[in-house]
Amino acid sequence: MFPCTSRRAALSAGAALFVLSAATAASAQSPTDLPPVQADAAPASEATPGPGAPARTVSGEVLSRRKAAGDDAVSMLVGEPGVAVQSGGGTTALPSVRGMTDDRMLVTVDGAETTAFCPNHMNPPGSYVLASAVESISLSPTLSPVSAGGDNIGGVIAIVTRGPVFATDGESLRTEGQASLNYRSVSDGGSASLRATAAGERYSLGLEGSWARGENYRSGYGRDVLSTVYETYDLAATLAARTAQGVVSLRAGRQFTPYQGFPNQRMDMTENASRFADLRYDGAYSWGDVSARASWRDVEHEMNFLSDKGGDMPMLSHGVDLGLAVAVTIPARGGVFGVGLDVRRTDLDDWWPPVAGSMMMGPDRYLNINNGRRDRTGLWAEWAGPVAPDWSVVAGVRLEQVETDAGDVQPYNWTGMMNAADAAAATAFNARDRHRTDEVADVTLLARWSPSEGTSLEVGYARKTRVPNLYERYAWGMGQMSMAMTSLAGDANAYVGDIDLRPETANNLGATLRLASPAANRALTVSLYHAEIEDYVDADPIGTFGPGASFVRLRFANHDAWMQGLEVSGRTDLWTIGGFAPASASASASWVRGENRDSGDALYHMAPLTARFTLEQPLGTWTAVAELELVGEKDRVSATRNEPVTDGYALLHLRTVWKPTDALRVDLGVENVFDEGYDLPLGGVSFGDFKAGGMVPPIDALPGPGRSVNVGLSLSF
Amino acid sequence: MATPTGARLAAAAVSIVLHGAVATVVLHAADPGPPPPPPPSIDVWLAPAPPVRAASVRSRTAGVVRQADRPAPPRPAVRASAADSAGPAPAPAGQEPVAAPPAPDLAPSAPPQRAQAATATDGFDAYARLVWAQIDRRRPRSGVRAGSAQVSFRLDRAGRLTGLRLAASSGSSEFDRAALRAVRAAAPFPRPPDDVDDARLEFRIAIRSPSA
Repeated sequence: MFPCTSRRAALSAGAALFVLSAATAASAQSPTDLPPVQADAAPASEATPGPGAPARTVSGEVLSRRKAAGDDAVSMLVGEPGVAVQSGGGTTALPSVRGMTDDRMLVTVDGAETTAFCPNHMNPPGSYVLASAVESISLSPTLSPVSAGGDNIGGVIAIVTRGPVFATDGESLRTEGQASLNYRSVSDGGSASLRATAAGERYSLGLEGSWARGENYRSGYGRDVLSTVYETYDLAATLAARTAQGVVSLRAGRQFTPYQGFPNQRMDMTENASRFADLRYDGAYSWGDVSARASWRDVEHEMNFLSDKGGDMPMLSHGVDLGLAVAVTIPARGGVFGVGLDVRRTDLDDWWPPVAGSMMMGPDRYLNINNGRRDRTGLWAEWAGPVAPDWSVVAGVRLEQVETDAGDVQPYNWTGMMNAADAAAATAFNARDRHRTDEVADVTLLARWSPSEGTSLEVGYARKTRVPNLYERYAWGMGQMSMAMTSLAGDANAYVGDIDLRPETANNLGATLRLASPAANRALTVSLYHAEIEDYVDADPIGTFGPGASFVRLRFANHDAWMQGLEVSGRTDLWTIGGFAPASASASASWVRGENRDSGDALYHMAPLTARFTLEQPLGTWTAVAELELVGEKDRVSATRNEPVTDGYALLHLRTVWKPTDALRVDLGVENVFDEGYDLPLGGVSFGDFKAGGMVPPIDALPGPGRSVNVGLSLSF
Repeated sequence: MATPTGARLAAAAVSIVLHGAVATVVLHAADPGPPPPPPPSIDVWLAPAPPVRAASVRSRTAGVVRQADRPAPPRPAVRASAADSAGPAPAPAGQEPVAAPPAPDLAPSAPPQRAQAATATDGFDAYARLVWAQIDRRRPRSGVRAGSAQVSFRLDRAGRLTGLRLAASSGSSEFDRAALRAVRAAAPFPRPPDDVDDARLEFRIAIRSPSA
């Protein structure tokens, strides 16, 4: 028996009276009116999610606070245990969750999947929505249910923008919107966004636009970090129609990035233009739920050098993603049974136009990926529900077939001495059959024991598979320069693909214990996990290059690997001052380690021990927040890739929020109060600075931002 | 390495351990003591007490529910005949009575029960209460702040859900969906009394989103 409040009891009892009178008064012809039911508010962040639901969801107040500090959508998860990001440009960070980085995580925006169409992964899926447009972002690490998506071994990050709204009963026209502005001193930049909706009871039209820009940010070492400028625009419109069973919506829009510097890459983004359309239907019927979607995204991407790096070498990509997904869930055996079909077709062309006057880069265009194709078909079935008192399970199987292929390629020049290595590689590549078909199976099994309210123990196993991306399989250049253009890890090393690369398969094990006090004012969550990964896509060295042999030539290669780690987080209410909501303290810590079983080398981009302590004091319309971020030294690094060692550091952030009315919100914060100089553990190398400094080795790690005064303003109407 | 960084890291590690220890103590200390004596008697009508919810434990805070939104409290209380055998659980002394226990996740497909009814009207009232209570136990949990979703549904003679539709939007399509699912999750319902008109097995209920 769970204790409830007197208000619920009052409601129940009052409802009884209501029913009695309503039912008695009801005529034989009219429907029976029941008294209203009041939904519960969403749980606090440390509360127990439902079986198979994301382990963490960031929305509301916490999300608003994080938006004040950055424009990148995926970075809105940073602060949750186990989450880090591999630095990219200002709005294009790559997720790294429990050591699983980049494509190992599936990132969806409103359910749609997108491919990173760039040999440096400058346009990952999370880059197609700016932080200001995010309504919620949720994370299902390593043990995500098969229904959440395939083609990943590290789990799923689901970014959701604001769904359609409609007029309520009696409202003829509903209009609403929000405007926000942010400024950050560290990059003398910020963002602006505007969203407006007009809706009747049946139809809804929403428009939104966001813009973000920043200059090179200044590090705590007191100097600008080169190649960190960025600017990007997003526009989207949503037209939705409501039926008695659900909503049909068409969302379409455009993203345009005129420039974005990449401090840890040899190249910069000099344009990324993308258009998308997303048609979906979500319906609830008496027998179950249906969801169906068709999505399309077209991406035109251009790399070259911005002024910090200098030079000219255009590299173009054109990619199209076409996706169809249908899922049906029905109540079954006391739980919910779901089946779904996902079909996705991806086309990619990557070519580098000849450079006028260059002996090396011409006279032909270099075809990096020609008619690249990656087609996925996935079929899944899943059941979730209770199996015994206090026990519930989620069990699912996903079968996927993934076909990849790429057409014949050509170097800049078939005969020139400077292109001899590429010409030989192209000849060998073209002589091979490059079509590959992989049939893979994923399984997720989760069991949760909930002996009492607030206490639960979840254990799970997930076998998850990712088929290599087109660059890992089909990047073919063996010349020093062409190899260096394929580089996904922010290490400025040079990579070549392997047509015979096998899919990587993770056997993920995990356990999570959640404890919460009955009044939900204290909570503790502890997670332990281990992953055995067969055929992990790592890389083997085949040479070095660059000044002082600073950089490594690598070939993508399958190796067995393991990762394991621990996450602890908790919160507690503290004191209460003068009738305000109680002050609270929260803390989290994450630790992860990963190793290549064949070489014994540490895996790349394993975040060091990280801890966060947050103190929050509400004072009526004001809330003051102090956060201490502690990051340990990263000394277990990948020797294969010359990964830089980074020192530990401690940062203090102070933030205050003022909400004088429901409609107005003002954020004022100082990040990195003491202007501490530090290097980002997952930042890779600072190639922009290295190049501007005349390429004198050794190359440094990428410094993090110094002190920033941030101001945010948001007005709802 | 013995640098300020190393020292800071050591400090961090110590802090983490201490914090963990404090959290453990705090959580342990939060355990309720021995059960308090029974409360002052307040009768609450109830459906037959279902087994305790096994999964999706809800957090319930008093602040979630606005008193002003509630119907008047029971004076005198109504007691459903079906509740007599199960009865409400005792509440902590001096506090609130315990209302309907959470939904039976384990037994949503429990065999339909006959509502205990003497006459058509009395029987149907009791039956409507059971239907309401079953939906209330599956009420949505949502972060959406919107209005009320009006859901219409129809039951057949066996208490099965045969029609489900949204009559009016809460304003949020996300909450509307949660409301439809809540009613579906509550099905199947007990078998209705035999002498009730079909037309009365068409129900309408408003599901309110969490208050601001």
